[in-house]
Amino acid sequence: MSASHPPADSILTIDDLHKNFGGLRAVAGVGFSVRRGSLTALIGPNGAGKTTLFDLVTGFAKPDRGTIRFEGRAIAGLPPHRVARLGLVRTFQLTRVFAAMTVLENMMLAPRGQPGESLLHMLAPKGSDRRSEAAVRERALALLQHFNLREKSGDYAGTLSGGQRKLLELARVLMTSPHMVLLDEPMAGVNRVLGRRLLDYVEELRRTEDVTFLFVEHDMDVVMTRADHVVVMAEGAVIAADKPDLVRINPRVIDAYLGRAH
Amino acid sequence: MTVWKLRRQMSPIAWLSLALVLIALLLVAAVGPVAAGQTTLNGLVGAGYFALGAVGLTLVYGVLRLVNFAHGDMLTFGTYVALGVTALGVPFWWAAVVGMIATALLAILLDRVIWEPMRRARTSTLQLFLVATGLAMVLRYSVQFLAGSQVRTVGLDTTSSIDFGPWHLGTLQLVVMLVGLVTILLTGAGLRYTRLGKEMRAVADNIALAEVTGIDTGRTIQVTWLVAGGLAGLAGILYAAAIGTINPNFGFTILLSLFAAAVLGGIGNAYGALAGGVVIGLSQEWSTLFFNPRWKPAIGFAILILTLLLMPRGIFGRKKARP
Amino acid sequence: MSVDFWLGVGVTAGVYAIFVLGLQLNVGFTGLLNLGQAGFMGIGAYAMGMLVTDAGWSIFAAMPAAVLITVAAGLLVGLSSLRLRSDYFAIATIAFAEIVRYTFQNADFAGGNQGIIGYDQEWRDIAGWLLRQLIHTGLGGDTQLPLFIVVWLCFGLCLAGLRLLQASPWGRVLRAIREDEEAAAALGKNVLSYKLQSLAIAAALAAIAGFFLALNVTYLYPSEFDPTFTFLGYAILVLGGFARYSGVALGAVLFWSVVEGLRFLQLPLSAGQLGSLRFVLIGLILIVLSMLRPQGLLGRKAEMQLSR
Repeated sequence: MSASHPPADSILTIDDLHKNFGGLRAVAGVGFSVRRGSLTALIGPNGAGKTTLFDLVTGFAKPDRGTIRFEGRAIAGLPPHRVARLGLVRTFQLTRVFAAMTVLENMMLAPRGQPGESLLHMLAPKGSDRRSEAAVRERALALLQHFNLREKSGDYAGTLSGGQRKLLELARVLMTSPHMVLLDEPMAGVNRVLGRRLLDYVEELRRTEDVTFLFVEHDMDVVMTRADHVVVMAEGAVIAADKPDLVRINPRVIDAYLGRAH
Repeated sequence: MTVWKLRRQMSPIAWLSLALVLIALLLVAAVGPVAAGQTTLNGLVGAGYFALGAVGLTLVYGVLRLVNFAHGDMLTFGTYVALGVTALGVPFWWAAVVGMIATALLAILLDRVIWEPMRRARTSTLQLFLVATGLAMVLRYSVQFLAGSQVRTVGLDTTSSIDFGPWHLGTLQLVVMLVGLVTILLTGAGLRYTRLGKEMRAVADNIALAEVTGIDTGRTIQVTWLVAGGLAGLAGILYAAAIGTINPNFGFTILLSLFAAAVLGGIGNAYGALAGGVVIGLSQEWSTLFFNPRWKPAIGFAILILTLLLMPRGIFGRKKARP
Repeated sequence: MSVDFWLGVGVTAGVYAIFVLGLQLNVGFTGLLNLGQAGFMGIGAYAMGMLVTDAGWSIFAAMPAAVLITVAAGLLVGLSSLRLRSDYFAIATIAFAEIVRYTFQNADFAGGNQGIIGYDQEWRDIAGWLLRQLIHTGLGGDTQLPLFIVVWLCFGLCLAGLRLLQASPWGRVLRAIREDEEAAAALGKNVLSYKLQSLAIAAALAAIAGFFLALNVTYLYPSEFDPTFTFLGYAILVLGGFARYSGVALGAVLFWSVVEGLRFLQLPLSAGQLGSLRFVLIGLILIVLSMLRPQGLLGRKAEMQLSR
């Protein structure tokens, strides 16, 4: 599926993306668009290439062929930190919190463009730096509150449970004031109640800050009830991209999932 | 560039041999056959001990992912044991065998006492480096404590030499060259054709896969240390015989050149280390045609740096050198 | 057991302490296995020495210039080697340090094995003046006292500076990189740039340590700056503990007090044998500490998360 004429309000457009690892074609001609402000789900059987796609989009892997445009700019092949600075951030399938740093430090690390992070700036500090640091701290604590993690703010992130780490990773990524967030299985290991809070917060962010979300998810309930667009991948290619109800009855999609069951 | 296309089509050893022959021919054109041939002969003498020293280093890295900074001092250990045995009246080459066996046994002992517990605790690169450094110090300075820090002669006949037309070579150095080259070939053949050799290569390539296919990785590790230790001992002895004098620091001093050989060949790849050793040996001697001989060791360092910067996977390597 | 002897030990400890501050920044706070620190120290010391003796500069101009030269070397090494995997990076740094030492040993411009001499006249004048003040105020007249004071004063300044840096957002990014550089990159941090900065600062610290070493031994010779210096630095780092700048001073003082104190043991051994024994012991301690208490004496276990 090519996306050579992307809709005007698409924030991310992928066109004819290819990636080989040795002889394995992990991503073979993927193309789709993500509408700004949408909650898009990326689903597909294991091994379909979803995480590789995330890696390609966020700069952790270089595509062999194809283009990726984010907010109109070509980003394919850019290193990860450049992509993140443009406002496109991600979480990881296996959570990556900084275990030997406290929860609060994890959070305060995240915002872009903090003046105190530059060495040159440190040599000529301004009073506003302290205020900026204090503001970041406040934001961090407020966000942690939302995710029920505020009491843990002084603990080492390595002492958190699996589910709490997932939440911390999400909270941290939100601290970067992103335009678009790629979530790799955000609900895995998180209990239902907290998971619902998470999704509620995600939807609120969508409304208030116009943040776009693309998430990989296996829980079909979540996908069908929350997502307003679904992209289905199998064997490295996109086999459907439509509204949830339509994807559910799409014969190719059914075939891909049933076929896997053998 | 057609050169690169050609390189891709040929096997690594083919293009390396071709490159070396071409360089040799260029040298003949530049300085004449006598000087070129002489330095090539001298280089082949060094090839033996560089290659055998590097093989142990690379095998241990390949099988255990351990950069053994104490490897150089194992060369020292084996050589001093051999020298000590000759003081008892044992002929040199028998003493050399004793030295090799002692080093092999030391390697196994150290694995049992130090490396295996650390493997089980899954320690970081930093910790492994610190322990290896400490071990290097213990080995080197124990030798120095027992044998003294002075330069020692090997006690062999270093004066007689043989002439081949316009070229000449010390008899002892000729022996070193032959022993070295033969051992290189035997090691290569052993790795390729014996079951143990294949298992070692399999474990070095992918330990999880090797276990799944039924290879006893514990035994493979022990064999790796035996071979690494034994060859290290031999390498040190060959070095001592070729140069004629040693001091307790010599193993540590040539360690970086051994790294250069191993990295050049592709770290973890034993054939590569053998080839790398030949390249280092030849390069060092060829360099004396243009530079003052005191810069010889620096050639090894330069090759190491260039390899890391331009071709970190080495000539034969397939392992990722960049994360 | 004279005061002067122990002041001398204190000077050595101070030189190593400044040297190891750089290692701590690299290893303990950035996760970089920098094995070439002695090379940077050599460049700093030689640059200073040559600017004074060959180019006739004042030592007060030569020192900052030498620091800049060493920082440039640090950036060069970093730009070429930081993209490599951590164990390859470590090997590259040793190779760099050995090339530096080799060059100083063999190149004519550096005086070869003869070394460099005569750069410390201005320092001696200052030390003389300082000594007179100290005698005036009754603090004692040991000849080693001025250098001892200056070295540790300098260490204190460097320590304060590093502590400030570490407590800042910049230091926070560094620790994140030590933990998980991909995750740090995914948050928009330019990992390579930070690693370069860390290496550059460590190089500057090594240069400063080099100055004091040069002033202490009064003539520079290349074998001072060999890998053993770096390895002893690491022994001190392990002793004092990782990711704790305060441990560096303790480690350095403890290490050198014990090592030099061993001289006074009445053992039936020759001087050479005693020297060898010291290093055997250092090696054993390094092995035992690294295996059993890898975070060092003062380090925290949780901080022992270093890039693999």
